Amino acid sequence: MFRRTILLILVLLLALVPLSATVSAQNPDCEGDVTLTYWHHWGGNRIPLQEQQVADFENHHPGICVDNIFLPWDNRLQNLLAAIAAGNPPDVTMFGRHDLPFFAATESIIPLDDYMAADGIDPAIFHPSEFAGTQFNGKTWLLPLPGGGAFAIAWYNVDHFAEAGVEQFPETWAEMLEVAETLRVGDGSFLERIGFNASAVTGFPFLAWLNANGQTWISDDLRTITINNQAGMETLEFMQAMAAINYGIEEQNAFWEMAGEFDQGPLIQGLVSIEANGSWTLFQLEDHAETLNYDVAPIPYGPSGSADRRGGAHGGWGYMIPKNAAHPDEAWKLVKWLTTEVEGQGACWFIQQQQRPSPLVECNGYEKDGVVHHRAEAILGVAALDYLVPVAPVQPEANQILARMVEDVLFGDSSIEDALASTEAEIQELLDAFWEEYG
Amino acid sequence: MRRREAKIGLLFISPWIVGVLLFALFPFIASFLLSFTKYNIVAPPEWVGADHYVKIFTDDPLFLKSLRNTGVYVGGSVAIRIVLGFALALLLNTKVRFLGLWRTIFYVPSVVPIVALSIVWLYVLNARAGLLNWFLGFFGIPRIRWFADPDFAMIAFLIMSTTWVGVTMVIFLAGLQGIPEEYYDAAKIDGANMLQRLWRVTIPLMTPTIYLNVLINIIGAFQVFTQVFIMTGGAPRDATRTYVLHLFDYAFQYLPPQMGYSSALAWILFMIIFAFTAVIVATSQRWVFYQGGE
Repeated sequence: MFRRTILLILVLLLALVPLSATVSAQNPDCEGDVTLTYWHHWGGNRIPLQEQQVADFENHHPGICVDNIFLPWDNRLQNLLAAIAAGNPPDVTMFGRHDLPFFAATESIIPLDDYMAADGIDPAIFHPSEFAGTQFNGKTWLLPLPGGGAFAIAWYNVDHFAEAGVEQFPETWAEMLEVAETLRVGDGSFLERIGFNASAVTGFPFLAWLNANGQTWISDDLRTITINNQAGMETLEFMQAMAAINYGIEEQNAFWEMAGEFDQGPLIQGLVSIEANGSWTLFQLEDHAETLNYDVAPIPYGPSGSADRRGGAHGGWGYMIPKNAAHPDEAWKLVKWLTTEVEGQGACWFIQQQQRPSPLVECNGYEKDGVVHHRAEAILGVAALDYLVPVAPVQPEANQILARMVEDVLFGDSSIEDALASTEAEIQELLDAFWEEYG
Repeated sequence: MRRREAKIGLLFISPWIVGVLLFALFPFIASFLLSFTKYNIVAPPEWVGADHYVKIFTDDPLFLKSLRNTGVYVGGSVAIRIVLGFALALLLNTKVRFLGLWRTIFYVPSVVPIVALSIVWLYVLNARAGLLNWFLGFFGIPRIRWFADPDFAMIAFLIMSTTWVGVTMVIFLAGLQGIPEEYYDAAKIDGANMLQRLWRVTIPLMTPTIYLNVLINIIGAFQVFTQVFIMTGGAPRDATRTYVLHLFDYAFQYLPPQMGYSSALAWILFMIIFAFTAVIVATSQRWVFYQGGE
């Protein structure tokens, strides 16, 4: 009997595994001629917000129902490409702006300009740097949400600063190195606390620092890579110096393994004194670190940079309609709701519930239930120093090559000069191949 | 009557036949054809001949690196699973107490989903607070930065490969239980001690099972992917970039997707596994002994 029970439990547990990967929610009370398939990647405590947002869309659009499907972010391209290739894509999907050039170049998604013109959606309702990320070959392919800006903000532990006698947040990289060394706690080879980890800026550390050093990594026409220069060298030197302060790349990485996400974040756990992370860190700190005494500041700028160019607006997400969507006209209504609605429980409401910057000019993402968050001014002030870091058409592979370049230098396997030269050539070759085929 | 039986038989196995044709044979042939094309999934494939194969051998530095990493994993993990699996099977073939419990304990990790296992192993192998470093500390072994040090990252995956030793063990156990007791009785009468019985009776009669386990484990180890994808993504310094991770990136991570190139990589892997299998099968006549055989 015991064996049978154990076996039954095991079988049930195993059966649940594939189910946990996706969550589909459809309102049983919704009656309509059209059911839209909607894919998104808002996990965790954002799932109920999504359900509420979709329910309010259905209330405002009688006759349209939505099958609201949560999919893991990691497999988004596999799922989407397979669905498009099979001729059965979702009507609307959340979409990384990083991924836009390929999908737009192959016209696998529908341009939205005609819909926007018909409904009087003026691009000026979005912040210019946000709307810029929706363009390719002069057309609009998606509408943005959430904001792609404020990617690299410095969040710091005020108590650590006070204990170490540091009075001001550093303005320049030289000052940052000094402060990081003062804040670091360790015995010469074993870290107890990191002052700052320059290799752990969300998503794109090298590009973030290069940007804060006054250099854009790719030309405006997205055809030429521009990292092999003085600014690029200074950027890698800074990352190298910071890793050396943390007793080398291996100890830095090993120490960082203890950090996780949300309540396990490095700042919340006290593993680090300064963390460079995006604007979304605010709601994590609000939810999980009530007693943490923290403040925010722009990340420091490099020797070739300037004080008015610090953070990066890079990529971000949006919503689009794939080619061969079953109900493109109704899908547009959902895209509009998810990205431009400021009255009902649509775009603005959804962002405000999370307290993060909104791509919509009219919507203050930090205003919730009529109250503006007391940190809003500080964070938006930092975000005002954001500079657009363009997305290359070969961004995913370029990211890997750039990460490999940083590792080559930090592990001492390559000189900075050689690493920059070979990396620039390697990405340029990919870029040339892309434009040759899709240009 | 026979014809009718044959029809009924075919009817019963038809779901399997359809499955093989649709989900194995068709993709198998399609991937071979795709390996000679440029294919980004959303546009029709474009014939490029042997270009991908030429590029793989002349202009893809990660091809050799990922192949070398995979080779290390295959060699290490197969050896670990065969030796450890055989040793465990020998122990669990004796009359120890709670035999069923022990067998279950060693087998259960094999059926736990690999994602969950990966998370557990990340804790076990954590450089700062991991169980393994804590245990090694008792022997004066200094802290090892398992996933941060390129020299140790693949070793960490080899240690993790012990998780699946239960499968190998169960097959060995079945083999051990198929050895007639009379052989051991005769050996004892001849004065053979325990080690001699193991070397002269058990191992020769277990060679068919060893042969099966080696084949299964080699084929599986060459395809190592999920744990690497979840735990390191190939880092540090591409020290854990395995072959399947490399071809997965081209198919599903990069844009534009390069399905043709990825298919070519997959076919090279197939040929490598095929060659290994062929060598093992061809040499098996020399070292695999069957009861009653010559």
